Amino acid sequence: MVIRGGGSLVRYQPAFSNDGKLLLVCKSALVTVYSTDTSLPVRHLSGHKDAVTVVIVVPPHITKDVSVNRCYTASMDGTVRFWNFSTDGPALKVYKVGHPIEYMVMPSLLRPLKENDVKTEEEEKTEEKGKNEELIAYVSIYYLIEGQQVRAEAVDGTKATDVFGGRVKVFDLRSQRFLNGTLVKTTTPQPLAVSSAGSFVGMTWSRKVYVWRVPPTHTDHVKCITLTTLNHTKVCKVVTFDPSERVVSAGDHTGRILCWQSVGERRLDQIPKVKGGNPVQRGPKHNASGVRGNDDAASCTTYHWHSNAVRALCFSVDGTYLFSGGSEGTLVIWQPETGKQQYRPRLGGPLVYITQSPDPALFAISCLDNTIKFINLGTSQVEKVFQGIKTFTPLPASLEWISNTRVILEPGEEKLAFPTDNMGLQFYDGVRDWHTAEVQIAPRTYVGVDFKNDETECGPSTFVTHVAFSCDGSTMATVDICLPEEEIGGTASLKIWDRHASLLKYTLSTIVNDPHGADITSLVYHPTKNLFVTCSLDATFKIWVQSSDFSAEGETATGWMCRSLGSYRRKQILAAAFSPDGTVLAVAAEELVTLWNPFTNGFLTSLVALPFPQKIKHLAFVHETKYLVATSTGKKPRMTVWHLPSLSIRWSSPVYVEALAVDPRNPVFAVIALTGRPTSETTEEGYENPVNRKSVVAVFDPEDPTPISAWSLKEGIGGSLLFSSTDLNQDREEGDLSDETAGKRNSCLVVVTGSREYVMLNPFDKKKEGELSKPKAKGSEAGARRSGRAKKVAEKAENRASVYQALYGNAAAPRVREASDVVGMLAPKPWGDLLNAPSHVLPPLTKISYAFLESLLKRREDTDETGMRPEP
Amino acid sequence: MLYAARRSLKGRKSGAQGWDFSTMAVIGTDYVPVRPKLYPKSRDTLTVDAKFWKSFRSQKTEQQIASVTNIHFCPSPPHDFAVTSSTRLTIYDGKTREVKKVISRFSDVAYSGAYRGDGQLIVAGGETGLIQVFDSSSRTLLRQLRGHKGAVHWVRYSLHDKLHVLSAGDDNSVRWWDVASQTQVFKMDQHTDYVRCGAASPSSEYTWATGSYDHTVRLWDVRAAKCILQLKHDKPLEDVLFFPSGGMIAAAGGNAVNMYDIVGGGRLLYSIANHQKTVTKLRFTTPTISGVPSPRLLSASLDGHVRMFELEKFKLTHASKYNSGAILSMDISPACLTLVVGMSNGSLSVRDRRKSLEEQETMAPALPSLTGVQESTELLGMEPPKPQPKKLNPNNYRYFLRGRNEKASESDYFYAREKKINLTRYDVFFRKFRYRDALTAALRTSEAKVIVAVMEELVARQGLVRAMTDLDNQSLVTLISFLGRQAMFPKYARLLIPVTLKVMDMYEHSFKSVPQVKKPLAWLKDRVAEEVRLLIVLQTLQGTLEPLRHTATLS
Repeated sequence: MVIRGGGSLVRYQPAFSNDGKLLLVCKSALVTVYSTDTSLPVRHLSGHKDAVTVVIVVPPHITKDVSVNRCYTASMDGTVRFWNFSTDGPALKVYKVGHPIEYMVMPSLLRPLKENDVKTEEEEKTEEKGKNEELIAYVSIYYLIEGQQVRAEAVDGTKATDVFGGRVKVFDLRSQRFLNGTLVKTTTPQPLAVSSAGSFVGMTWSRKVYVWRVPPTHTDHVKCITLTTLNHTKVCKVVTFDPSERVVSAGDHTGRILCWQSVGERRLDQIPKVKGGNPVQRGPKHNASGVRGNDDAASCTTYHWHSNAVRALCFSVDGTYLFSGGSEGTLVIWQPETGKQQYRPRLGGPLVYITQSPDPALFAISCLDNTIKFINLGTSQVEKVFQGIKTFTPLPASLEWISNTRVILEPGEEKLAFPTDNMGLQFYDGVRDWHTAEVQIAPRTYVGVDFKNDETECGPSTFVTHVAFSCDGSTMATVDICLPEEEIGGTASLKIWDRHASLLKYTLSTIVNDPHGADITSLVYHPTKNLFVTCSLDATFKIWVQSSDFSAEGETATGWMCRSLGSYRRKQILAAAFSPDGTVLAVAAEELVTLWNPFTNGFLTSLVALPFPQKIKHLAFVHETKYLVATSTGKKPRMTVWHLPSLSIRWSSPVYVEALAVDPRNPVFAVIALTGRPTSETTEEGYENPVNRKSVVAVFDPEDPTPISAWSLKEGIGGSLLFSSTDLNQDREEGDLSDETAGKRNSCLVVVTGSREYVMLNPFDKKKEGELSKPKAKGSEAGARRSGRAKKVAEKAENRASVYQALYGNAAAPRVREASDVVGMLAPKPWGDLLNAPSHVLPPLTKISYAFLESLLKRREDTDETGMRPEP
Repeated sequence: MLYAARRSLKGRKSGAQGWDFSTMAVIGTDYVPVRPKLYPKSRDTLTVDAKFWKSFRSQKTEQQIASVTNIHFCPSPPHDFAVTSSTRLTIYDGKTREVKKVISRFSDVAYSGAYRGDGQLIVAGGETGLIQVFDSSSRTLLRQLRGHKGAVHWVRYSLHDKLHVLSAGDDNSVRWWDVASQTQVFKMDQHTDYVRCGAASPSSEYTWATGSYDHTVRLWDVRAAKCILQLKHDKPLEDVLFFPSGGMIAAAGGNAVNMYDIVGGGRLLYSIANHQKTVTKLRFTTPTISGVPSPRLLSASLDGHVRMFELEKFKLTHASKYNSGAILSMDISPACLTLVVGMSNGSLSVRDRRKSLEEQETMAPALPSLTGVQESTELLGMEPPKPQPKKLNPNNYRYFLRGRNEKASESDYFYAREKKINLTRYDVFFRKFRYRDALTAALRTSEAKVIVAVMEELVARQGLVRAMTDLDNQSLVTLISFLGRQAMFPKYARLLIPVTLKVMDMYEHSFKSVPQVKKPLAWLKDRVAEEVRLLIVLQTLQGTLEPLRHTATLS
């Protein structure tokens, strides 16, 4: 059994059911139907093989009944499906379009039925409703450009990738074929907009707004569709129509909103006045009409409030208000007649879609922090929140040595904990795929995306970089940082939180401002004790313990303090790991691995260096075995396994490891490895750019460089791995326990991709391989193509092991160090007990000094005699 | 239901400066006010002892004619004190600390003016060897004891009878006098050098101790007129003191104070060598420090320090420095309220903690008087008067406010009004993204914590540099004087030093046109220079210590 979840709720626009009780959200290859009352998922419409991009609910005047729930969905897998979303089950109908659909509008659904179109019920029964009606979809598709392949190959040098261009075409669902001709060609497909009565279809591309007038009946060529083009000087981002279909509104990337009145009236004077036929109210008087060039519009009004691009535009039902949103996270409510605005600020993230619900006061706002919020415009309150896994911006390249926590398992309730962009920590139920709780790690006001001099967006400057839990989950340690601005400021703070019994509530117990002098690279909790380690680029690692030495004015407060500080040859400390029993602390000092006793602070030994010294990024002990895994990055990345009793390298292979996880129940570890050209071929440049490479999830036995199993993974960059104890085999029958997996204790591998989708699977479940090999629900994101690839990886790994042996032979076991080799922490004092007395008992310094100096001199003679005697 | 966690967040000891998220509707959707960071509480460096001794505040410093050789508090209230200096004996009022009387019936330098146990008589020695007894209230000379052939530096009344006096003279003799008859009862000549100090045993009526420049302390039995014990010291003795129990003696000689167990045959128990120079006076006192009676040994020295030791391990608990010079004499009032110290240059310092006591009392509510009123009315058989609730009519403003402060009873349903976040001025500007105004508003608070918090928030919003450009002259002056004050402070240095550099770069050319900025800029420069000096000194120190540490770890 494989559990998939996560993913973006706001990548595409959601849709309401006609009665407003359900919300349909495109979530990768699924359409999840949420109940608007409980804001919990009700059912999933599964069937598409790739991301669903559009959901169109059949409007009530076609279904004749508000409670009849039908919808069309379009997907990147090139199909359009027709569903009944009142019930679980497969699609009622599948239309094959053949091209990945980025966007689709169906103006014919919105057309009001003509008087003579109303059929008797008998007619409906005999022939499916609207059989005579044409079912036309305007689709914005990815169109394969064949001629481009060769060029791509020449540039990339890698396998030829398909080059797609965007096309807007018209698809007849009845006959399942495209109308001849193309409406417009673009380099990337753009979203379409349709007017409320289905008379116009609009699209923005570059500095143009295209408006197509939908003909009453379509011929078999798109020539029947008339086009009006509106020009603007800035890149337009979004277009919408007002309900009276007389105003076209577009938002551009500088934050201006343009409203063109009476578009296309000159050429399309035969527009039927559909909505009551009211003459359109003109906006504020404009001296020059504002219309550019020879555009076919009566006038153009510009509104400007947004400082950044307008991303969402929507008219109210009666057309008196225009809602706009952008990266400021503020919903602006315009009154186009007067140009006045109102605001609903601080919605938590950039707005991407504004969706009108059947209730005129209620809007669904899709925010880029992966939430859909219901806003009641009457009260201006957020009424409901649909919460996916919140987003997290990757750390900037300047912090490449910080191996930040991307996801961590909360040990108490086995929830996944994700650091979020708004300085929070989100707890997510992986099995049920829903949000559980959120803790604000540091106070932060969302201030929108900031633009510096050029138009490059500055990413956020505050991050939660590390999270660690104590073994029982009662304590949590977090590190949050603030990047400096032009080398001013830049702070880090270490916070330790106490958990309330039985609830996912944490209270702050201690704040340590700037625990290290430089960036903190990792934070590791002790597996059994209440103790953790922070590593830093200032060449030190610190061990923190709980202390009750903070009594203030009568009451005793427990806090945390740094117990000891270690450093090794002034090398940057990049990673640390505790052995499973907690007696050994492994610390990576740049390219060296050192072993320490975490309780006595004793330095034990340092391990044999890697054949090609590279800075180590991840470090982990493999459970129940005496192996230590380290992965290093840089030009020649390696993954190395040490055998600790012999302090020798067991095996090592040149793979770039993005994430490393060890199973706390079985002696295996898993990695996300980025594949690409093997290093043996390109020894010089190695892996110059890890981006755009395919990645593989592989599970290893530490004794064997051949992975036990492997799956390919898209979006491996920024991905993460976890082992949780969730039992995925609950549905398995009793008899099955006798198979080979029964020997392994239950352990479930959670693979989280860079875009925060996750798959939970059993890494030892050989039986289910077949099922995994098929890209099941969310093929696009985590399409698992087990078959050939795993073998290839295995072969590669084997080859590398042999290369290692060819180069170095079997590594000779180094001398096993005795316990006596361990350097004690306290050097003997040559002056003995001379100064071991309270100061008032001590004789005056003038007296002591002779004895003190004598003792020093004496000792010096001793060493001369024993150790450094010159040879005759 | 999904936002269970949002209300759980309360900063540690939140109070005013913690974070209170309870008013946030949904995480990330509301303005979070900028609040100062929580910094670790600076450890209170003052121990209870230090606090106690610091509560002695300097009341006055009087200049005597010559060095103050002895100070003695009257054992009976109001604890006047007699100060012996030059040829005078000045009596100060214990309450007002003003000069009450001056006895100047000395032909040469007077020494050791000391009260009798009941405070009625004063005995004093002198350079001439004449011992005189005065009435402390009328100043009349009552008796003169002649016999010493050298100066008498120490003379004391017996603690247990009012009739005898023991004196020690520079003629190496210790004499026991009957005051009434002005006769010498006997003389003890065992000391071989000047005898300059002594003490009466608090436990035994007949045991006395004297300390001499012959490096010995001798214990005398005045019944048998002989030495019963001899204690050896390394240095000439300057003061001898019996412990309150009478079983131990503290003897000061040189810079060492030795503790002898006289019950155990004069064994040396402890030696304190905490002073740099000769210890001149020792005193015992038992103040009540934070509710616990804590006996302390006070020692005054020529190095200008009075040090306080506890009596278990003789650890130093506090030291107070007197800048005006070598301390020759010191005494503390029996109730441990006034500490009087006399210097060799004749200045007399009076430190008193009465004022701090009064302050504490005024801080506490004056409860006793209230209860007193209540008691008196109860005694009269009346109930205490109850305030009658005034009937409100529309003439009264409170009429319109009635019921506003009504508390909800337990059975009521209670709808709490949403807590309003009090926004400060800089918060208001932050909400409007007016960063420069926010910074200016923060600077106006002149609270370092707040300014630093605002600067950090600006850094988090990547707007600090923008906020600091084009500041008006007034704000620039405030900013630079703030940087001068705080930039070197380790807590803020990591942020403020780069800020200082940036400000210097940005306003380099405009400083000339702003005359007001000259002064804070000079001050900032001085502070930087001072800091650099300090760093050099510290590095020098490190340089000296490093080889030592290195040799220690090597061997």
